[in-house]
Amino acid sequence: MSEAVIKLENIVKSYGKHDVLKGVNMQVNKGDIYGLVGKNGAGKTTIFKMILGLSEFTSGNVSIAGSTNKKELYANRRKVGFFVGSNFYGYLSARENLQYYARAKGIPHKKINDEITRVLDIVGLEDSQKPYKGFSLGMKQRLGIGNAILGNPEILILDEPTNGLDPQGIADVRHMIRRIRDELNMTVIVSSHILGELEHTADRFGIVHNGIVAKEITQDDLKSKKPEVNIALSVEDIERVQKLLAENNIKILHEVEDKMTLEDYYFELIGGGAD
Amino acid sequence: MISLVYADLYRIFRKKSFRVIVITFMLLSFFSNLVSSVRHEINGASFLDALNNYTTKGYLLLLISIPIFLGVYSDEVSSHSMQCIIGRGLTRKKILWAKLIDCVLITTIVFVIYMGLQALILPSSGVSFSSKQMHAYIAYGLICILKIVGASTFSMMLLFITNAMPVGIIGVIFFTTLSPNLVRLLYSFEIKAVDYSYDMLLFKAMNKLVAGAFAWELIPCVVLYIVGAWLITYLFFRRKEFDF
Repeated sequence: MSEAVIKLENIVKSYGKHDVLKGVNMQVNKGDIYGLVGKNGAGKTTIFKMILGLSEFTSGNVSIAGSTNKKELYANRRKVGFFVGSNFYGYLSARENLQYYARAKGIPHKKINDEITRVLDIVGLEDSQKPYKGFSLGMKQRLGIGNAILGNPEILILDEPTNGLDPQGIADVRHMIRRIRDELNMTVIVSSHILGELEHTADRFGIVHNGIVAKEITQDDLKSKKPEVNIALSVEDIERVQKLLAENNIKILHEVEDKMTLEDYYFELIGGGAD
Repeated sequence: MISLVYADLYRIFRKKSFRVIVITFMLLSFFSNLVSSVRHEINGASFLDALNNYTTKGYLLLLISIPIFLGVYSDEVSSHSMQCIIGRGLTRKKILWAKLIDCVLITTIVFVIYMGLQALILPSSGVSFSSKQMHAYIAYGLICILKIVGASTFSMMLLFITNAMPVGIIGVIFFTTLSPNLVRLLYSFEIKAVDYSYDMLLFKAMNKLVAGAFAWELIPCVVLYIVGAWLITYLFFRRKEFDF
């Protein structure tokens, strides 16, 4: 059985009479890339706030690395790195901002420079010297992810890390997330309201709707929902294949005239993409 | 918590505008005191009179109070870095303690450098202190530090309760310059309640310290006012909802 690194049991969060979370149950296992999907306002960010202790839940239990005790939760949050947007000082460079967080996180003084060089290399900001206030959105997102992986946490939380990025930026972040999981052995929880976005990245999904995690599914569950074999053919082949299948008594369930996705077309035209 | 204090100190002293204002403050304060004392006969006593006037009214202190407040508290709120620190497992109580320690350390460092350099330069300007005057000189420095720490802590309370940076800055302006003068005005109308205000207690403590006496007034200043403001802030801060 998989080891749960984060577990939420019946989490309710109310503001007055308004319930934002209405009994969230979710489990993230060690080594997962867990995609939290749901429309804007569904409660994804609130779930993250509960896990990170930035907001108190009205009832329920949060468990991080096996403990629900308040003191142990504080200690175990040190195993969590997270990206929740821009949390940097405008007058400091990427390296200086990371130095600030490295010191605040208590990373030993002698290791700080090596650790920051490693992180800047992973997020591709090793050459950046200018202050954070001059960064593009993509650079800001990358630095945010860099800060999240600083100190090699066991669990990584990424709240909409591709928000506002161009297609190349989205592909870079997607590639970076897989690399972080595979090379650094981190468990990753990533949220997005763009379903197609997470489908390429995560291997388990929690679907947030109306303040609950309505369903948890895996990539295998998605595949099992589509038992047919899909064969992509170019237009010239269709008649010949139809004839061949008919001759061999193979039934065609349905024919879908598929088109190229805009993302595929974009990357074919300009080059790039992570895959 | 110590790690956070260390990180904060490094960050604040890396801020270019902070360094520029600190140097400007030091130069302005030095020349302002010197010019004031030159109006009379220039010596240790006239320089201390100028220092006394400047400490009591607090106008020049405002120049240094604002960057200290911005560096310690306000930048933290505007950058959302506090969320990152809380999310990585530091308790809110420790964060608030770290902020208070930051404020005390930064103010002390600035004043030790300023007062130290000034004491080194003054003899070449014809100002020399007797040992008693040197004692008074140090007392003025201590009172200035307490004035700035007090003003920053009271303003921190306003900032964290309202979550509005302008309110915090207005607080710094009020507590550094307006409040001491308001207290003096109310005192002239013989309103006794002002005897227990932070500014009046500091003023009395300064006079006692300058005279070489024990200033018990410093105890309520620190315990009642500074720690009290910290506790009120903590009551609001411990359940505060943070946005990303």
